[in-house]
Amino acid sequence: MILAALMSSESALSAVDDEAARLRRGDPDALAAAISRYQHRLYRYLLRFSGDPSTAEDLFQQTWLRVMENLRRYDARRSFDAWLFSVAHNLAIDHLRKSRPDSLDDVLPSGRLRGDEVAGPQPDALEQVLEWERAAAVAAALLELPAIHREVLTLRFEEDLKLEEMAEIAQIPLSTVKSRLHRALEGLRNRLDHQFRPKGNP
Amino acid sequence: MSEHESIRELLSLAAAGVLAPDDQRRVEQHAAVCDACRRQLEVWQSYSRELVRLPAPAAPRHLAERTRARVLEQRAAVAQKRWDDIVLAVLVLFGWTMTLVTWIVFRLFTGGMLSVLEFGFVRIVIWSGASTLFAWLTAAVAAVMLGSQRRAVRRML
Ligand SMILES: [Zn+2]
Repeated sequence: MILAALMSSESALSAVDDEAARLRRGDPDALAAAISRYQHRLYRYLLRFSGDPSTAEDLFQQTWLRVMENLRRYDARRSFDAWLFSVAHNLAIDHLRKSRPDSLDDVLPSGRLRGDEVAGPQPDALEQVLEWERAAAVAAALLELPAIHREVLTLRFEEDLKLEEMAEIAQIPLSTVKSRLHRALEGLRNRLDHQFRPKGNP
Repeated sequence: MSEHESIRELLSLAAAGVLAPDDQRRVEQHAAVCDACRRQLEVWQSYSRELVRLPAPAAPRHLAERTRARVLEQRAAVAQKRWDDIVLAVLVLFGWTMTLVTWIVFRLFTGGMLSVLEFGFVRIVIWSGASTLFAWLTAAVAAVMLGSQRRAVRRML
């Protein structure tokens, strides 16, 4: 069992090595395969992060251009996924720094950290909404959050990454990832509470 | 900070599944005896579920193909530039060598070994004419080589 697991992990590792080696040699088929294998995940990450489809498309293309330029510097012991996403992260940050610098502030843009005010009998905002409306409400609320908060949310819940992996991609300390994720969730809930709070009952 | 208050700070991260096992256990043990915290934990869990289930937009259909084409284009441009640089360096070297050789050969034929170091108006004019001729020849060779390389690259794309 253990031997089989070892062998399969080894062959998985060498498959990744082959991938990077083929990309380095400039094999166009390897390039096409790699781009299409990651296309939906990478696009989703960039779309959530930037909040704009055409920006996400542009950053997607730039990410692969940068990846191919820097392939020599890729350390095969690292995960290719993490490396790819960190390249995308850096490009998205550069873009946002120019177009929407406020989107990189790690604070709640308005309102405060929630206290105990919803701990009482008031039902939770999300539960007041019909199920099919929830996804749209969450997606809309996400767009109002700072970009770096959207980033940690998509990395955690859509990419299903651990804090350590998120820290590697965003190139920030573990404690920062943790507090950022905490604030992102608070911000999201604040916005939905605000959105669905019955009128005349502020 | 009371246990209740410190646990409340952890509820969102507990629902997100990112707490260390010890903290996770603390949260679960407290939620088992504290209704308010259990209720809040359930709310945070519903947020986590919504975020996991958020409809995922697929990448536009031509994005992958367009990206591949751009990468190949960039790579061809890089290869082209490297080749251009090499050709240019070789031609510059060739040009300088030829100029030097012309100068020496010309002086040898017109006045023997020592006259290489002599200067004279007519000789300089003739010598400049000869080097100009070589420079033009070199430039023509360069143009032909670069042109053929460009055509080869275009065929590759
Ligand atoms: Zn409690």
